[in-house]
Amino acid sequence: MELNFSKEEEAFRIEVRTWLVEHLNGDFANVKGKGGAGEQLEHFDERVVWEQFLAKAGWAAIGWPKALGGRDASLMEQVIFAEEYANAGGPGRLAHIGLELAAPTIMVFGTDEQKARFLPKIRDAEEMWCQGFSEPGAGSDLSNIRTKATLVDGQWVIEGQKTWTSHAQHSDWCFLLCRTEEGSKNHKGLSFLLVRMDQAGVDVRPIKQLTGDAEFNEVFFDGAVTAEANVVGGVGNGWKAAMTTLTFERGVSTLAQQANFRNELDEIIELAKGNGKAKDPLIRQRLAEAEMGLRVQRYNALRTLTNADSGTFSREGYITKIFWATWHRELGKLAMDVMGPEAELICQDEDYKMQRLQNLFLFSRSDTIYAGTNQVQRNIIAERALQMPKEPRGA
Amino acid sequence: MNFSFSEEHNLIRETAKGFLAVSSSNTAVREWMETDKGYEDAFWQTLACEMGWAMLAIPEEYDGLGMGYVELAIIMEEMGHRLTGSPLFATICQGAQALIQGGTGRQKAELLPEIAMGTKTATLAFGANGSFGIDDITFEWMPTETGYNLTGKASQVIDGASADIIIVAARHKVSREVKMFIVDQSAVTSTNLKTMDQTRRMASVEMEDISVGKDAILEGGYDEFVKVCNISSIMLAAEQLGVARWCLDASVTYSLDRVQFGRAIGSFQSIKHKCSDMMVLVESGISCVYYAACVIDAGTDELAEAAPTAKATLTSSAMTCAGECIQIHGGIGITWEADAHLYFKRARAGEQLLGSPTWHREQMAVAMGL
Ligand SMILES: Cc1cc2nc3c(=O)[nH]c(=O)nc-3n(C[C@H](O)[C@H](O)[C@H](O)COP(=O)(O)OP(=O)(O)OC[C@H]3O[C@@H](n4cnc5c(N)ncnc54)[C@H](O)[C@@H]3O)c2cc1C
Repeated sequence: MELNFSKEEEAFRIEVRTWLVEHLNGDFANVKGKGGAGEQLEHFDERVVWEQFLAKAGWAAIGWPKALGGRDASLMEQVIFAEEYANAGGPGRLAHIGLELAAPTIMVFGTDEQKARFLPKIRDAEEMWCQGFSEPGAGSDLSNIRTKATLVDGQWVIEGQKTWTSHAQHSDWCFLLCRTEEGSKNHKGLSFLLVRMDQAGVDVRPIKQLTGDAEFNEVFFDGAVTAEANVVGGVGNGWKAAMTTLTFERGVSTLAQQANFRNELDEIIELAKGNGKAKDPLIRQRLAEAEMGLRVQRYNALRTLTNADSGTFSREGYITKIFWATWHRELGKLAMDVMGPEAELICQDEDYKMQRLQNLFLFSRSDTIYAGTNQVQRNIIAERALQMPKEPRGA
Repeated sequence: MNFSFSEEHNLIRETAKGFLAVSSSNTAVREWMETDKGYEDAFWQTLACEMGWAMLAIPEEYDGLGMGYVELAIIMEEMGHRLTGSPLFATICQGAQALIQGGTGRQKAELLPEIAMGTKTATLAFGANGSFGIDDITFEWMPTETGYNLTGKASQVIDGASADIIIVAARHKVSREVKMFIVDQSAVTSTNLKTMDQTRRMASVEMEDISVGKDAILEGGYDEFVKVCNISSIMLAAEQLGVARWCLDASVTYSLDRVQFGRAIGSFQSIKHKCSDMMVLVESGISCVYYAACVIDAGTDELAEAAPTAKATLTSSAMTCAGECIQIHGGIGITWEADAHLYFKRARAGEQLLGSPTWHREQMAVAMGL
């Protein structure tokens, strides 16, 4: 065990920091600190430009192989980058669904043609992506998907409805889990299709959320089409591909978040010091507990990463999602208690606009729902890590 | 950065596990509970010498093996998992630490080799609250012509009535400067206390105007004392991790075995979810304890945060897991015969020992500048 970062890792940290600090205090000062929890749509266009700038400088997808325009960065270097990015006030990553979900899945299961067609544009933030998994009848029970695609004259024709689709309203592409085998049930007969959003058969309707913003959408497919070749992992293998995507969603890609959590907690600590709440014995206890919880997340992530790097199987990876989600939801509550009566007053010069910590409070309720609810996470832990009996299925 | 167990670590753990599975059975634990000291001398000799656990973390120059705190934490975790009765915690994680961190060269050379061989046991006495702030110290010292004069009383000193050497932390009567002293068991009045947790002995240790020589005072002062207590807090957290892990394992095993309503109770979601929550505590606990142990090895200031984090987190986690373990066992969990109550009581004792979770969170709050 060695807790210190190596000389090379430290040098990498300095390189990242120097670059980020220079640009986030220079040309891109306007996006610094934007796009946090519940504020995903803030300064959207400027943030797209920032994403493209990151890509040009080779910082967009450092974990990718050099051949694909990445830096072959180790997991530890990716953590360092994420930490420095958050420390420097880097804005919420708009390209993350493409970079962290679509691209890795395509890398694992895609054909060479698919890799060549899609990966560079994901890396360069020229094409934005959304995730078309959930449906009105298929949430936790994802395999209950009904949206279907049929091959007609060499292309897939899609009928059905997706929901809770984040960022669909400004996405160029969607990776869509749908039924390609007539009459198939559950996880059989599903395929993972790549579908262009800007076409007649796709109708995106934003859904207003508790914050007043509309980050997710309903998406209707009515005769939408995509080329026959745009299926990832082969026809009928969609479940396998989708599960891989979910592993990315629940796993390593959450590390960047931790550095953002650090910023949020620091903001709450500063507020508590400023308004005297830090003297309230119960608030002190909760702030200390939040600090400890954040540290434990970091320790656990470091352990997961080292084990992942060396291919050792261990159980700690299972707890990542439920741990951070529950911690973050608690932080939202703590933020309100630190704000005190002020917590009730939103921006006074606008219709219905939250302040930062209010957005954190409200939007953190979704953390324990998306990417597998806390209950689903507990089922997974019990059944896979502890080998307890599986849930019975209804008819 | 490399935060995973090495082959050597795994070997140490497997050896400890295998050995304790046989020698620290629940029958043995219940026998130790009935003894005066809470452990058996012969068995302690085996642990100390044959297994090498007393010498493990003692520097090589004092006849130890010079291994690190990660290795020691592994042993503590496995002993917690089996509730093994032994003076290892008080001797190595408290008494010997005080000598290692604060002793003079001569004191170390004289005492550490004997401790490493298991021929001398030790402990640390300082207060009555468990916590180790300067105001918690209940002994006072004054210099005399021939050495020092010590007065005061500490309660709940681990192995306080059996340890050969008692390291006493005391405050100067006037200046409040904290110093530590080596005191022989024969010089104090020590009385075993009846405690709820019977797997570990606690004693009150009283000294009324006793004199010790000039060579009894340790070099280190308050900083070293706090460092020692932080190290012992982390080792206690390792023990409590073992307790939590036992409770998880026992709960899962029992829930797969016990049938009600025509199915294993482990197929009920509320039971599964309890076990999942326990696993979250255990796995995050492993990360937390061993990170903290690495921090001791690294010798950095981060100890001031890693120790309260480990102590507060793991003692709370052990308590939660031990409580759920009783619940999952139903009526059997309430019996004397089942082991669940032994772990529940050990978990409770560990919460208070060396400062409650609330106290440790306050230490963190201070470290955060709140
Ligand atoms: C902010 C946000 C963004 C999202 N973005 C996307 C996106 O971009 N793309 C996408 O495809 N999806 C997205 N989702 C959808 C998300 O994946 C689903 O909401 C989630 O899978 C839960 O499904 P559901 O909403 O239908 O709830 P349900 O599955 O109906 O769950 C309702 C309640 O029942 C509980 N429950 C369900 N099954 C079980 C069980 N077996 N055992 C115990 N309890 C159970 C749940 O825990 C929950 O408490 C997003 C969701 C949110 C909140």
